[in-house]
Amino acid sequence: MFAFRAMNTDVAIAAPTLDPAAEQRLAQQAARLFADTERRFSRFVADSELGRLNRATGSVVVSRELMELLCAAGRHVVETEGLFDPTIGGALRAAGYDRSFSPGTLDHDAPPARAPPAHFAELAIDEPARLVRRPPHLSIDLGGFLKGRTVDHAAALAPAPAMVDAGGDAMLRGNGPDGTGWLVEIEDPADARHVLATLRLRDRAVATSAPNRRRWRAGDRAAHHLIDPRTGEPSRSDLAQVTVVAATAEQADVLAKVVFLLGATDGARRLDGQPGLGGALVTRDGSLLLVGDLEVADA
Amino acid sequence: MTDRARTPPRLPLTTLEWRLYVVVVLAGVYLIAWRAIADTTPGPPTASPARSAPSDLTTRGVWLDDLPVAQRPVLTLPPGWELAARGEAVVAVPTPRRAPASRPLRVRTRSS
Repeated sequence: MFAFRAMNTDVAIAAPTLDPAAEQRLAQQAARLFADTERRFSRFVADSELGRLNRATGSVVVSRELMELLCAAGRHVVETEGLFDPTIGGALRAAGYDRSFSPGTLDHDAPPARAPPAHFAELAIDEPARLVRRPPHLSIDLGGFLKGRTVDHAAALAPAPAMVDAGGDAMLRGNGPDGTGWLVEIEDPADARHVLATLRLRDRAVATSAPNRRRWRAGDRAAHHLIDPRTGEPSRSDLAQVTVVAATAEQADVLAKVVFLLGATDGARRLDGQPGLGGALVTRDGSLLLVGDLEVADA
Repeated sequence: MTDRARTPPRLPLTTLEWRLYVVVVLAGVYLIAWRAIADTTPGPPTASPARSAPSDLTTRGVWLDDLPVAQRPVLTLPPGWELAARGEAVVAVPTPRRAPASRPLRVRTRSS
């Protein structure tokens, strides 16, 4: 297994059937992919392509890759009926998330501001011409699915079985290192030393959303990064953590946020009965709710 | 053989037909002139790379950032327009390090 740091998180790559040199080359390829993606599409990198789009005052001709990202984001907006919306960049900044997160750095005494409402539909996108025009009040943040999508792209570089794990957003290809599936431990959001349940996954991805790490103080209130597009403010969900299992890490990444915003009842309903989808929902009182298509190895 | 002078043949056109003929000719001239003017009018920046590209590329079109740097034309964009670059400058690529794996290999999922 090889590890590196990218997108402000720890990334681990393992391909048990490869010899060490080939596994290292795979990790180097993945490291380049993560670094390049972050360099181009992070809103925190001043000269990133996304940063330039967020500063542009007129129409912008974007790269093919950024257009693909915007189109993918648009599909997620439609599929989630607007509960996923990458135009929450202004709301994140207003809540105080204006730089790359590290504990304590975002704390401030002023109460959180309110950003003007923004919706993906306000972006003018001409896909064939790769032209994008952004209203001045709208700022794009692709953090809601960029990491999961990059995990999928990195996993596609590897022969199965293989694992790409970016801070808990993981794609697990094949039937695991010993043919019995990959084991995924779900961390207790109230105590990182504890595991709430262990899942067994085969050719599936997993992602988790919770406000327990990326949180800060805004005046006398606690703020976090899970913005509800319906209010433009950090969500007041009755959930403490959501883990979603899906076919791709991108889908799991998006759905983990959507289920968190929906809350325990509607969130569980969203995942239940969907082939290939499952979830582990932890409520604020610490209860664990397992829904959908899951194989539990230990709970 | 005959010494009688030959009279030139007359076109059997009525006044109305002559008018139609003139209208068609003028419309053709107008169309040709209009196309010629349109071809010299600057287009939007998205069209410029294809027009400025080498001749083998002009017919199928090419994106500016797909061209080698040396072949990219200099574009003059309208006020307020901006060309977003790919940002292909220096990318700090992290160096992967061998990490001890748990046995059996497992993932800890959490918010990050």
